[in-house]
Amino acid sequence: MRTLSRVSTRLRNVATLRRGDARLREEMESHIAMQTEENIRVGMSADEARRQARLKFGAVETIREAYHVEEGLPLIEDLLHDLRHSVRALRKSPAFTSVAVVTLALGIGSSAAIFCLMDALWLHPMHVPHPDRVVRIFGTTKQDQEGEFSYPEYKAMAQRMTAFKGPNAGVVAIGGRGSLMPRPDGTAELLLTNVVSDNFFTALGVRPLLGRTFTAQDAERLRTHPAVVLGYSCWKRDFGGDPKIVGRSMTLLRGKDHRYQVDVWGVLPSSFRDTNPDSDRDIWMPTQDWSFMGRGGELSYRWFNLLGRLAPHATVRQAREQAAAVASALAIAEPAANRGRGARVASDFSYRKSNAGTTGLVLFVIAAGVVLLAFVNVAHLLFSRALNRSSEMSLRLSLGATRWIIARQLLLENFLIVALSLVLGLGFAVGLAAVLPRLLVLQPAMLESRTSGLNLHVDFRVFLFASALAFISTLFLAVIPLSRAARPELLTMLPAGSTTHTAARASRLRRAAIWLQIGISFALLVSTASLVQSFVNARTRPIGLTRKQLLIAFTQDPGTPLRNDVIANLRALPGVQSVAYAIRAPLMPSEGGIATKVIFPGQPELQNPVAIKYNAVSPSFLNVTGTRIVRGRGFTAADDLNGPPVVIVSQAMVRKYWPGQNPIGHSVLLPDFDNVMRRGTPLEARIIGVAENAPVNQIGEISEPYMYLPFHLSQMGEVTFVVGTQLNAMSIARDAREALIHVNPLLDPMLLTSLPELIRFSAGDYQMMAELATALGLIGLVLTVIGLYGFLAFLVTQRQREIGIRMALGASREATVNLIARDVVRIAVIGLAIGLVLALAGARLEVAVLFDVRPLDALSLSSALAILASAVLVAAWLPARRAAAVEPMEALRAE
Amino acid sequence: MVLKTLDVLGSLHGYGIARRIEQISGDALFVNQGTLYPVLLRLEQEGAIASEWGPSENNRRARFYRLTRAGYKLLETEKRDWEQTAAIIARFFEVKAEDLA
Repeated sequence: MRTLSRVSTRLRNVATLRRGDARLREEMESHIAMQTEENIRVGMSADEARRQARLKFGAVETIREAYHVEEGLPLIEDLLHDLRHSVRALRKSPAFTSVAVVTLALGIGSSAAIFCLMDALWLHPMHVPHPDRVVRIFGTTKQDQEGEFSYPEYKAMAQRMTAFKGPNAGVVAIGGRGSLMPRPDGTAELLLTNVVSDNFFTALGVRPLLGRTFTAQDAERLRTHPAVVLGYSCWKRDFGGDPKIVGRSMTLLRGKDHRYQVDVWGVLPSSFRDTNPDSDRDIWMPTQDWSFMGRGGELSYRWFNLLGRLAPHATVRQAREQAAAVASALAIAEPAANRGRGARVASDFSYRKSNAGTTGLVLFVIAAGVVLLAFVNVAHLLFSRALNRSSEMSLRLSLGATRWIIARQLLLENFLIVALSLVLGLGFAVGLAAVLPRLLVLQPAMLESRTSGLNLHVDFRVFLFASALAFISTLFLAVIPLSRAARPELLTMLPAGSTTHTAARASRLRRAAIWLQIGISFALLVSTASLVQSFVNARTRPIGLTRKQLLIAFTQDPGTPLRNDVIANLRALPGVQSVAYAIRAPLMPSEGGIATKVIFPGQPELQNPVAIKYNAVSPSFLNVTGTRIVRGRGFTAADDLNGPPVVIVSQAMVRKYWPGQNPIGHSVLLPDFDNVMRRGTPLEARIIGVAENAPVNQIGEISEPYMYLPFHLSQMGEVTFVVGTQLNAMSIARDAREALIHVNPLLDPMLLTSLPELIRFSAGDYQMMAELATALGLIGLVLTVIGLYGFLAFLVTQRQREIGIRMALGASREATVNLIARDVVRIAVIGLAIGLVLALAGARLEVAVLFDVRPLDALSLSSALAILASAVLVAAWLPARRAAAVEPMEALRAE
Repeated sequence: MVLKTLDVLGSLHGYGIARRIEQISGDALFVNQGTLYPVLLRLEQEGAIASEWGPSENNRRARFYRLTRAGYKLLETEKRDWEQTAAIIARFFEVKAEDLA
């Protein structure tokens, strides 16, 4: 208590700069006067009395000092004093300060923005309480480690896993589907729907913005009274943010004839849009709704993602063991459906981290390279500055400052620079965060584009990241004052400003730093070149799909006669060359068909049926989408309901099941499909052709076995029209929509986009990487040029006398320039060697994210070399000219 | 000592305190009287004493110090602590070897 009151008084004294000096002086005077009087009284002479009084009192200055120490907080006062001094020192050299601050700010700001993006895309936890207790449960097979579950499987898992039992815990299921909501004009809007288990919101801890969410207690009621909870965006967009929406009902459609009234129970907050950060769903309904709308049969398919919140004392490990046990129990109970299936539990964070994957890591490494360049640059600047100030430092040393005081002073200057650049860098990051989402392709262009769920905020986490960077840079830069400035020797430094001994040592260190800088910059440029090539390739190389304009309209299948009407309407549109259709167009974001059991009759070694994805297509579909038939024939109009069943397989399927053979003429059994010819037997389809591999879900994916079946075999009830046109496909989108609605308002497309847009969207990661790498590579290059220029300029200044002597002895100006050039070339070559090693290391990492580019290919290397060489020339130009302009007499006289 | 002096004599200026301590300790303490002032300041910061300007006996301006309530309490505890310590030390000195045998 007493100490506290003392400290607070002192703090107040420091803050108000209050000094009791006058008071002390007066007290001392009166003290001595009284003592003197006393002395006189005992008989001393006046002079002697005063002398004795003073002697008795003690050294006035020492007492003042002691008094002063008692008065304030000396440590803080010294610090404040140093701080003032540092500010003054930095203000004295504004050029140095601003270059250092801007350089560091570029490094800190750009990597903070990258972190912000990575955080938003991948790392940011779900907006629920205690996100660290949330886990993901995946079904696993040999091919797939992140598989989904059917609803009955979910029920079995939820029932048996005790690690999720408890009041605020549980396993939840969530599956993405689409619902149609009628518009007043007779068309319908597609609402992105999450079908979830009824305990979803309570188990995860999602609280509504308005109204209430459904809970497990509502299970019975929901069977007869379907309910939905609106997502924030949907509430704003379709209901105008109506605060009285809760309790009202809305209409959902199924097919042409079925309309369902569902009650709106609540609205979700904008902070919870989906379980994945870049996704934004419109409505959330319990599985009971899905059954109510007559789609309960779908629940037995595997399209549910499982999440769980662990019970208070349960661990991920327990959950993992239990999930594996339940999965193997299911496999034993029903071997036909579940053989080879397992289950895996991962914490939500590790799932997000694996999503960021190599893409995130490559970005992170590139950003780290830029930060390192910035650090090295500022270190250069500090070196020069320390050297320039060595006489100042020696002077202060000889005036009695301890080395620690000088080092503290320099540390404080560094700290100020870092603090300033942190502020500036965060400002820079805020600006970048506003621009970055616009650079990314987060969705293909559509007729009515939705707003993306991705918003970048420079939040506390980003601030923490930038501060950590700043802290590291302070530590890094602290080495310089501690190692160098504390070293000036009194005798050697005082007479002349630039003695050669310490300067030589400094320049050796700096030379190494320059090598490193050129090396990092080269590696950055190489990887940037590879990533740009990769992006260009993804947009231009043959991929088994045409790059021509194709409009894509995904809607419900109206059946043959109406479908033909639609085709006739589409053909009549201006500029349309061809119309084809299929269940799905390639690269569409929704899942296509999968034949769960494919049997190969001619191949006894393939006993177990396998699951293979397929598309059901119209005869001209492959022709229109540009997927070539490499063997056999394509479909014709004769391959219809009346013809014998036929199938076209992909090259990847041939490689896997008929390696080195000609599959044409073989057949596959497809028990999933009705055999119209002989009811009750599995459909036997004869292979008539082999199609080249084409991407199904994603550009750059590893080609899986794939089949094409005639469209009449499709049982999905959905159709995608693809319309080839000479015009920009999006320009006929509105007309195409009219053509569909004209046949039936319910044919209003759920997705209306173009193939080039889907390709652009699918190549979005390559584009993001290329754009970000280019920006970072450029920043890195600029930093390197500044660093190299600074170093060479310093070198020329250092060697001014030598150059002067050489010139005085008859060296020509060319020879002088050559002298510098030789130095530059030596630096550049060593730097490139280091860079090559770094690039080699980077290439091992990068190979996974490149599209059709071998890392370290000739083009990347040579373009990086060319860019770096011209940058070095630019950096060397001015210093070399300055060296050539040295006047021998002046240089010698200057010493 | 400062506290006790103020307790006995009431409000007093720095010189008076110094004199008093000198008298009582028989000049054994206080090599330099000036060292009293940092101590006074510290006590004042702790709230044990308060001070104000006032006229001295021979009409000089001097700063007078007096005990506050917290000061009295502090004096009490210090006194008790000291007595305890002194008693313990005293007992150690009284102990003879045969007492322990």
